[in-house]
Amino acid sequence: MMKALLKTTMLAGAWAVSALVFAAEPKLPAHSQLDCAKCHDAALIEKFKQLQQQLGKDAAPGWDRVAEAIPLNEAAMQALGAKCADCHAKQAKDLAASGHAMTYAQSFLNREHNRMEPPMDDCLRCHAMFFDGAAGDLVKPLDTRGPWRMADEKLAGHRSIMCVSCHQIHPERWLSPPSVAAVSDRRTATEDTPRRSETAATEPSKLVGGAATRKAGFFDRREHQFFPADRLPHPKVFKDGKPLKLSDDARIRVCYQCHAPGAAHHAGTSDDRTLRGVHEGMSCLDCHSTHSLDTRAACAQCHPASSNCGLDVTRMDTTARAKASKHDIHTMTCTDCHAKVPKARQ
Amino acid sequence: MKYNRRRFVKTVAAGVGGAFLLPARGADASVWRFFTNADARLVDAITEQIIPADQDPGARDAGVINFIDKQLAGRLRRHRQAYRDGLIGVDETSRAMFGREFVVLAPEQQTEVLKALESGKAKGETWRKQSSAAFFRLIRDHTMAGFYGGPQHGGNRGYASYKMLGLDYPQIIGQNRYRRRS
Ligand code: HEC
Ligand code: HEC
Ligand code: HEC
Ligand code: HEC
Ligand code: HEC
Ligand code: HEC
Ligand code: HEC
Ligand code: HEC
Repeated sequence: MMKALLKTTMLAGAWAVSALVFAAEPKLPAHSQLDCAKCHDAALIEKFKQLQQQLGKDAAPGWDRVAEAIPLNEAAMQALGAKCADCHAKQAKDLAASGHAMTYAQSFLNREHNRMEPPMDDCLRCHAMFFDGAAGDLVKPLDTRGPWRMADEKLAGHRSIMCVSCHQIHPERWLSPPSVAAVSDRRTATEDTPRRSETAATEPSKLVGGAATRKAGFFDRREHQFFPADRLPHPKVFKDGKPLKLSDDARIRVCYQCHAPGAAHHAGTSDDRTLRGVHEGMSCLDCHSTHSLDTRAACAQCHPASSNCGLDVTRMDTTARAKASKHDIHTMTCTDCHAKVPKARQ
Repeated sequence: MKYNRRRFVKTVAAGVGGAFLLPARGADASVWRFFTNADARLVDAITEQIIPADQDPGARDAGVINFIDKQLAGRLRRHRQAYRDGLIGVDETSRAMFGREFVVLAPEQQTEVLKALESGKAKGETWRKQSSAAFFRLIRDHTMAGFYGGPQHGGNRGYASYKMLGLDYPQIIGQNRYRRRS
């Protein structure tokens, strides 16, 4: 009978969301009105229904139990990542036109890069976080001599960074393990042991961005888990032993998982772009648009209002005008251009 | 009946067609991988005694129970029998000392029971099979591992202990870039 019921609902297209949720809503609020079938195929929805039946609607089993039973491989994540464009055409178009549209081939067949540093497993956390295998299953040979080729030509065009690298649909609290309290509170609780409700997952971010940071995060390959921005560590970066002032925009934590300094967090090491000099303390997203990474519109937010030189900053000799400039927009100081710092406009 | 849940999960995971092979969920069906719901409450109470919450989170907040449950269904499965026996033993000792089961004791009474276990002199039939001290060490070590280990192993929920220790997690660390910029 259950089987018949299941068939009918499957035929009806998708499940009514209300019939599917556990004790609480398992999706990002913005998506909570959507049918599961907008993003998932029928097989996954069916598996989920079986699992839910087994764990019980009110069991609050924790999304980690769901993820264990219904693991998603790279192909599944790519299919899901591709779905986002159905409704978020602008973000998809912007991302496709940005440097983040890098492919596996561009990541792993770059001769200059590979000659200096051989492809290895560690590359995958930033350049192929959902890949099912190891570096050797992606590119050969794993040395600095080359010539390098994709282990499987079909992988060449896979995107290194997808929507699901920085966004999670099912909120993080559903990734939490079950709590005994959640289970036993439903039973006649006779015990006098103290009961605490789950506090960890709902703790609001103290930093700018607040609830909005729930919108973005980072899929960490090392832990095979998604971290919302407000759960990622906030970067600390040092210059000449002293800490730099960093923006407290929590969204930069996402950027710093990849655009990261070396282990000692010295400014400018590895792929670090921490702002110092005239722009110290700014957020990456003060200048870079989130998905296109474009900076063209940004300067006008602050300039010429806060300009010292009395010039149009976009025409000055910085990397904002020409990539080849010696004056890196992220790091330049007054003395990069002036032998002696002229008196600042006060 | 007691420990049949895992077979269940396997069936689902295998995705056997659309067939609904699963028995209806009984009133007391466990939501855990290895433990029964009652076991889980007991283990949760013991671990919370070992690392109680104070100004920082304790074992319960950190989901240590989920760690132990997950590991007993995996890497630590060799300790299953020790837990089956040990949990029976804890309640035997608890009843012998205070006339009630461990989970309903006052926190100070729970501490007394655990002290008795640790000393190896705990009362209870089951402690003939393994010493209560050995079981105490086992569950203490697992509690520590669950509290301080990586969340991917099932414990340390919300990175509770990492936050307490001020550790960055996940770490911010660039690749070993050959190009140095500063
Ligand atoms: C807007 C798209 C979208 C909708 C709608 C959606 N999901 Fe998902 N789902 C995802 C994405 C993306 C993932 C990958 C993990 C994540 O982002 O949380 C996922 C993962 C899953 C997983 C696998 C869990 C894992 O981590 O292995 C299950 C099960 C699932 N969804 C069930 C559902 C159900 C049931 C519904 C309807 C109530 C639903 N989803 C609605 C996008 C969606
Ligand atoms: C069926 C349409 C649909 C699909 C598919 C879809 N979304 Fe959305 N999404 C929406 C709607 C509707 C909103 C809320 C309105 C808005 O902000 O545009 C939204 C909002 C968002 C937001 C902003 C959240 C907020 O709280 O404001 C993010 C981020 C997002 N979606 C990411 C994704 C990602 C990533 C995917 C692919 C896994 C995806 N969406 C797939 C319809 C969709
Ligand atoms: C911590 C994350 C991280 C790791 C690990 C990492 N990369 Fe990158 N990679 C980046 C970022 C960020 C950029 C963009 C750098 C920039 O322009 O500042 C980048 C750029 C690149 C580029 C573009 C060309 C260039 O040199 O800038 C290639 C190719 C590349 N990485 C390959 C690799 C390979 C191969 C590995 C492993 C040996 C690797 N990366 C490891 C984050 C990472
Ligand atoms: C490199 C990380 C990254 C990638 C990749 C990424 N996003 Fe975002 N996205 C963000 C950040 C950061 C925000 C801002 C979140 C906030 O304001 O709190 C954001 C915001 C959004 C929003 C809210 C509206 C807006 O534009 O600010 C939507 C919708 C969205 N992303 C969809 C997508 C889709 C669809 C994709 C894939 C085509 C995608 N994102 C890829 C980081 C990313
Ligand atoms: C998953 C890892 C990852 C994350 C997260 C990430 N980036 Fe990147 N980013 C890269 C890589 C890799 C490149 C190099 C792409 C290339 O050389 O083609 C890059 C390139 C860039 C570029 C240069 C684009 C260009 O056209 O040359 C900018 C700007 C940038 N990222 C900004 C950001 C910002 C801002 C964030 C946070 C919202 C962010 N990135 C998050 C990996 C990442
Ligand atoms: C003051 C504005 C500003 C801020 C803040 C800023 N950038 Fe940029 N960034 C630029 C400009 C301008 C360029 C060069 C032109 C372009 O590509 O748009 C650039 C280029 C880049 C590039 C491409 C490599 C290059 O130098 O051409 C990367 C990678 C990058 N930025 C990352 C970041 C990251 C990560 C942050 C935050 C830590 C950040 N940027 C903050 C303005 C800014
Ligand atoms: C969020 C505000 C903000 C944005 C956005 C911003 N800047 Fe600035 N910029 C400043 C401030 C403030 C100073 C002056 C710092 C000081 O007085 O020490 C400055 C200084 C400069 C200077 C040094 C010369 C001068 O007149 O002071 C240059 C050049 C410059 N910015 C270029 C740019 C460019 C190019 C962009 C766009 C890519 C940009 N800035 C975006 C805030 C900003
Ligand atoms: C990218 C290069 C660049 C940077 C960075 C820069 N300047 Fe300038 N500045 C110039 C140029 C070019 C002029 C106009 C020619 C000149 O007078 O030297 C100028 C002019 C000035 C003037 C007017 C001088 C006069 O005699 O009229 C002042 C004041 C000034 N800058 C202050 C600063 C301060 C303060 C900073 C740091 C916050 C700074 N500049 C950063 C390039 C730069």
